[in-house]
Amino acid sequence: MSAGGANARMGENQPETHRGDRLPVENMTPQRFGELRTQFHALMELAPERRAERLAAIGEHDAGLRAALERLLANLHAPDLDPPQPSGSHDALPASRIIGAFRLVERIGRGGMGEVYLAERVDGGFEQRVALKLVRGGALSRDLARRFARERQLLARLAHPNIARLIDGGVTGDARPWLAMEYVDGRSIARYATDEALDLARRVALVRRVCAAVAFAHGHLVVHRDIKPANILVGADGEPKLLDFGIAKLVDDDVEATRTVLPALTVRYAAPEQIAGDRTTTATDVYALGVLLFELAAGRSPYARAQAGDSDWTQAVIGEAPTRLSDALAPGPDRRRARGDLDRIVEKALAKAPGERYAGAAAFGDDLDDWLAGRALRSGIGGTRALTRQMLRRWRWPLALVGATVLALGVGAVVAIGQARRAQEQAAIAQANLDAMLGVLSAANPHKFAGREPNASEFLKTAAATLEAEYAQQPALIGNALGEIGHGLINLGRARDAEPVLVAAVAAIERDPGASAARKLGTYKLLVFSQDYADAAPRALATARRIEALAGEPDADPSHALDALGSAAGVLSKRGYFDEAAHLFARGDALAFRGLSAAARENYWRQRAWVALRAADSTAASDAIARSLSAQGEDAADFTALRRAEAHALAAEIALAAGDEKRAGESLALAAPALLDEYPAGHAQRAAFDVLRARYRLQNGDAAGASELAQSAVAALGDADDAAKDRLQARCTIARSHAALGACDASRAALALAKAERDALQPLLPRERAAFDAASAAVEKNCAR
Amino acid sequence: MTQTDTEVTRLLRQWRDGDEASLDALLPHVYDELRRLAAHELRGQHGHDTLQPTALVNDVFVRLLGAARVDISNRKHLFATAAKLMRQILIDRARAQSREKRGGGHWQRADLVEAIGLPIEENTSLPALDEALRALEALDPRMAQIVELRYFGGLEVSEVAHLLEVDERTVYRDWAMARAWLRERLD
Repeated sequence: MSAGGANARMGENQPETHRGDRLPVENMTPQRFGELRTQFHALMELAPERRAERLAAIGEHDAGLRAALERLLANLHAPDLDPPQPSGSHDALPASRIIGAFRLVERIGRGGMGEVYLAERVDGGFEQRVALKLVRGGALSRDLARRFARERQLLARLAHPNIARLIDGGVTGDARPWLAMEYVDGRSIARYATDEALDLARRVALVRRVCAAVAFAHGHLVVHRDIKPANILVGADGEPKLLDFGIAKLVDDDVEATRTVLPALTVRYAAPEQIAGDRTTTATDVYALGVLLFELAAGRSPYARAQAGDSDWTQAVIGEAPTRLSDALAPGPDRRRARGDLDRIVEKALAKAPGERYAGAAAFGDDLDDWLAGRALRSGIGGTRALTRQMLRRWRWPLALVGATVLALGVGAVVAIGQARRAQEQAAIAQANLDAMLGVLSAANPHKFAGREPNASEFLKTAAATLEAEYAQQPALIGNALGEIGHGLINLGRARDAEPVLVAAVAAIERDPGASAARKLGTYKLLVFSQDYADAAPRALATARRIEALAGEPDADPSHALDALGSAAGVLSKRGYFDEAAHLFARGDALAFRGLSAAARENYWRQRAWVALRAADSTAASDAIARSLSAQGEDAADFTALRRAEAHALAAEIALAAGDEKRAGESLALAAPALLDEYPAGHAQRAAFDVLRARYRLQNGDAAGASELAQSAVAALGDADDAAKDRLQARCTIARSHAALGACDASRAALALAKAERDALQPLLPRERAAFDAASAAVEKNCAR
Repeated sequence: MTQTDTEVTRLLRQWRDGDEASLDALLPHVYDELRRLAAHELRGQHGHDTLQPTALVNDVFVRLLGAARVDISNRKHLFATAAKLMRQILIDRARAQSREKRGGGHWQRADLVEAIGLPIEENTSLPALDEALRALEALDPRMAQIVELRYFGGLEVSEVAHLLEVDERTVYRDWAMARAWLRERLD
């Protein structure tokens, strides 16, 4: 709005107006006006006290010009000289115009992070034009400045022909960080594809090149987080170049900043987790690449409703199922070609849950490569099952960790995961700072994992120690990062290593006044999981008590509370603390009906079913699993096929325990497709499922088939401690099968092995006791001497 | 969603695909939208807080475009045209109102200008401003365009600088001079 009438005018000693002495506007010529303008601009650059001098000088040879200028100055509104933004002087070219070795030429852009200037190198003998980004905001704290410098080094290492290079950077005198990037002259990738009328394959090939660049960055532990057509320029040579790599992260240092509302125009390319304010990972870039691919191929957004204006982008990104790519293409050869594999590739890249996407740009690019070459897709999602599928499946977890750890480390756009090959190296630099540690790890590339045992735990432990030492003053950061590392260790099966890390995480979070009850519950839940081994039982009890207390706090949301309570009850039940588990469940039951999501209730009732099964209480177990399945039925789309299959497998086990073979058979049939598909032979989860299938075969009279399946399962289970219960079940099944077949020696031998397993169990729970007793009775009956 | 919005989307797509003519067909729709929003603002709270100082013209276009898939030259054309159209609409309305005196017009001019957050000074006669701008166009077309984009397009100085690919400082000075010159002329 108008600055209003109250503004002081700048001219001195001037009456309000000079009606009798107007500017000669009627007979002004453009030339004369040009002179006036030139002098006016010059005057404005002068300090007010020097203007009179200058005016006097002008007046000596051109009195008319002087008079005109004086009247203009008299009419000048002081606010007209002010920058338009409340952010103050940052909007003008900075006073000095020289930043580092560069001279600012003009501003070429402004974004959420600050301003971008075209700048030229002023030192040295060569010409260089750069895009210089001057970060908005106040001075950096010393901590942040250090981090900024460190990450800048990381980005400077990103030398790739398809990535605009970070050339230089630093901090200005007034402590604003700046970055000089390679200046790219080109068209946006979308414009290029349109101008050049590229066909589908060439568009995919273009995105594939972008993927390679992004994968390269992921391999260097850098996540882009803001991939969109405007950030990808194609030069005259047809090569795409990505701008602003890692900049988004570099700039928003605190957690709050990552949660602020995205600029309106970026939402279209933002991943659901970015909109939700959750952590961003390599999978976030994959999502954006998926949108890019879709839009380049189809010329429109995958979100039809938002594109049509029927919903806003935020809603669409979070809730709308993307259009199938081929449905968005015009009928013709491109559409036929896209149908099938390319549809699946895009669908996978655009999955709402980061964990369901490609773990990184490399995997996404591999599939695009395969599609372009007409091969089976390496990810195995294609119509033809590829051989590499099982291998990639095996490494799925480490790849997911790559993503999960990105933000958890909280030190920037950094991906980290241990890699077996380099575990020694990592150990050797255990004392090293975070930079070096992170630099060692490059992980987003699946084939680097092939055939090797991932030994991330060494790395994660080292990272935890470093974090604790270096960031002790930042409990929020420590809490998050350690929590994530502990999570990783648990998933690696290293509960004992995870426990101290999570204890430290919990301590940090308790120290953090900003930590919500929900966040505390989430971390305590991880802690109780890490205490899932015999010696830790007393500590697990203490953790459970803390969870119970937190669940009662007013800001604890019921779904987090229920989740933590159920998890604690599950862990305690494994140690035989059924009363304590029942107590926690009593707290949970009160929450379980308060309009919680189907997912939360499903999980809770499944925990209850497990606990009842361990207690050999098949009535309670049947009731609980029925509720769990019913929650799944409410909104089947909320549950992955694997999760549904796991519930059916549990239902089968419970039905078997209850002697309901018919139901067991039905449940197994429902569970089998997804589980067999998910876990290749040799996988521990597969072996556990095979034991269940063997038990069913035995109940159904197929003793030979049962024995065979159970034996192979025993072999696959190996002698790991955490497989003891499954081994016991398998050996009991073998003993019973042999007994049924009349092979009494083999039966007794198997029973003896089962007994050894049983005796080693600490504690021995009713479920396993019952299994052994049943086997023992069957052998006794069939092979009585 | 209304028929109009679908139509707008279609025109936008055509325009984005290079059909310049569809922009002309598009703008009346955009201005309907603008009026609808302005009317909405006027119906609702009358305070100035309800609208961002960023001009609605800009917002409406950006919202309708849904994304920054418009390159600079097209964007320049778009905003320049939008500002011109806004100028035309406001001036036509002002003329009509002065003809009708306080006849059936739904809004006062000042209300509209205020509601859509244009930085035009209070008590400015729009027809006189229009005439002064024409005179300025004859003397310095770019300075006149800066005024047009600021006053009627609602763009910030920095945005104008970006759009016209001119140094921001230059735009500040031209803007200050133009306003001083207009003030002098309109007084």
